[in-house]
Amino acid sequence: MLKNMNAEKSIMMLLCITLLIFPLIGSAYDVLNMSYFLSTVFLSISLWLIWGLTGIFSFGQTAFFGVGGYAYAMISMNFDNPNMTILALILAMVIAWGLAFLLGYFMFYGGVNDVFVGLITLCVTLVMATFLAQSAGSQWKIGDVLLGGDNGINNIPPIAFKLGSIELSLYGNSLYYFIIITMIIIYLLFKKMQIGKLGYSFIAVRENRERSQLLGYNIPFLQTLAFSFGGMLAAFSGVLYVTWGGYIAPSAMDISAAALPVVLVAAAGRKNISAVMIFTVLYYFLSQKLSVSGSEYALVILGVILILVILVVPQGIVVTLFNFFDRIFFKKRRRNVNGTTTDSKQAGNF
Amino acid sequence: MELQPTQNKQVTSNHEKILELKNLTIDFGGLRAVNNVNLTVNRGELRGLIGPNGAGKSTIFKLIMGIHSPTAGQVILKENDITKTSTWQRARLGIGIKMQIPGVFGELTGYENIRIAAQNYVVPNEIDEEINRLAKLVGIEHLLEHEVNNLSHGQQQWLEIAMTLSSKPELLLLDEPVAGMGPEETAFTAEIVQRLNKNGVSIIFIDHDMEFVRKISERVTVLHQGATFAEGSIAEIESNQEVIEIYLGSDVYEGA
Repeated sequence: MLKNMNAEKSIMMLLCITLLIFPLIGSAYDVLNMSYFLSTVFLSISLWLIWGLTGIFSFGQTAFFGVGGYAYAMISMNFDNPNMTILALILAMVIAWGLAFLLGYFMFYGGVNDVFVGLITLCVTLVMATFLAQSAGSQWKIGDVLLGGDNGINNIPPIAFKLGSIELSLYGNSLYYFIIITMIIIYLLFKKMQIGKLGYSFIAVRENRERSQLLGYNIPFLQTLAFSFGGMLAAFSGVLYVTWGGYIAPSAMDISAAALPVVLVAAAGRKNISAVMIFTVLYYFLSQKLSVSGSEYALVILGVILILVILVVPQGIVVTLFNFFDRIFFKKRRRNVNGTTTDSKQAGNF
Repeated sequence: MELQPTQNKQVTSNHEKILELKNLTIDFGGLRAVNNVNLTVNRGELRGLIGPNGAGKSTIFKLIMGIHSPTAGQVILKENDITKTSTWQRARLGIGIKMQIPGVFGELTGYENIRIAAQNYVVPNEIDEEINRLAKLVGIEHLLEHEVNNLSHGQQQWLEIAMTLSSKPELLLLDEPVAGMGPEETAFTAEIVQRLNKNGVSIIFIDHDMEFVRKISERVTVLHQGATFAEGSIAEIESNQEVIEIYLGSDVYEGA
């Protein structure tokens, strides 16, 4: 068993176990916080999928995060039935998937690529944030629910489930376990996908589009596929966020919110999903600790850390650490990750 | 053409057209890069495409692959008009291309490069076998674990040929396969190309190295200023006074 180990795997397994027993060792407050940190991880994973794996640079993930949040709020609050929240969750993801698919379709089949995708997605995000910010007043509502302008929407219900006398509402520990278990499932699925045919197809798109189409890859299709499912994951993150806090406002999509996932994923090491996940949790943890103790300097300190990381270790801080641990603890086994070098290389150089 | 092509490739190979370009023309702005080119390549042929710089050789390859769409004319593959077919579909129809600029994925390993090239054409559980077969074919089986950026220029070229072969192409386009190679590497490449051709792959190649062209080519087409200028066996071409004037000139006498 040890033969197949490397730093990334061991750290992820350790983290997985820790997080699974976390509610037993942490206070209710800690669990609540951790739920929030973990819900943002899906946003980073979505960016890993489209940028790290497929090479599409997007500022639009927070737009889909917002779409997910707002759609969930609209649907769940318009029905006074707890079971509708599950439908709201599913619909919110489907809506975001559809929007991402449409946007992706027009961009990628229209031949838009690279930095222009970044610009278009940023514009979409900012247009959406600006539109929602001006939606104060009673004329802006869907069904019975006011959009609420800059103040956003409050009292969004948690995901709940009611069948006869059985009633389950996702908050506190149950929300935490819902998040962590979904995360583990998605992580394992992506890990498997990455070394399979689809994963390598995305990597081909990332590495060289011109060459890959000559090898028989339908580039716009693969880009649209990755982009649409990336949008769906971001929406899932948005739904988790609103069910966690019961609240969403346009500021969740403004320019600093839009830039944050990009910076996090870049600083962690964009090609490695584990790195991206670890760094996201770490960032939110640190930013909370700093804002409690360091007040207004928190953002400055974090900014400096991020700049340093990108300057000193451009391939990503967590990926660099993985490599470092691999060299120390797993030196002789590095070549044998899969019997070949396959996933060692493409998963980001560890 | 008495026999159906499907019955026996060997028997019909001399007659069946694999590729036909009809009145192919492309303008870039005001520049006519390819001017009314007609070219027919039969199945099993090993055709050389030569001509001075700017003659439109590489552009013709790009038109065959659909990277550019022609201003006028048709591209016909195995009797089917593919002029409007997209590039990736042409690749899947059986055209493989090795471009002038190395098109390997430098940051991936050799294994991953061939895997990406091959996975669309084999079932998943045969992929490793296929990768090893392709690597052996071009003699790079010992380099599979290395990052491609660390390989020599020649090794990268062979890797790319292996990648191109992974789709089991019926028609192979090679744009300067020996550019930048030393004499030994060139000889090995010539051997690979000839072996492929013997195995039934139709090949069109572009090259400036007349030594190489002479060594492997049966039939040569000369392009000049975007149009076909002459066509014939290598001996005919090399004795054609006009061809010598526009292109071969010094090279022929140096080589001979």
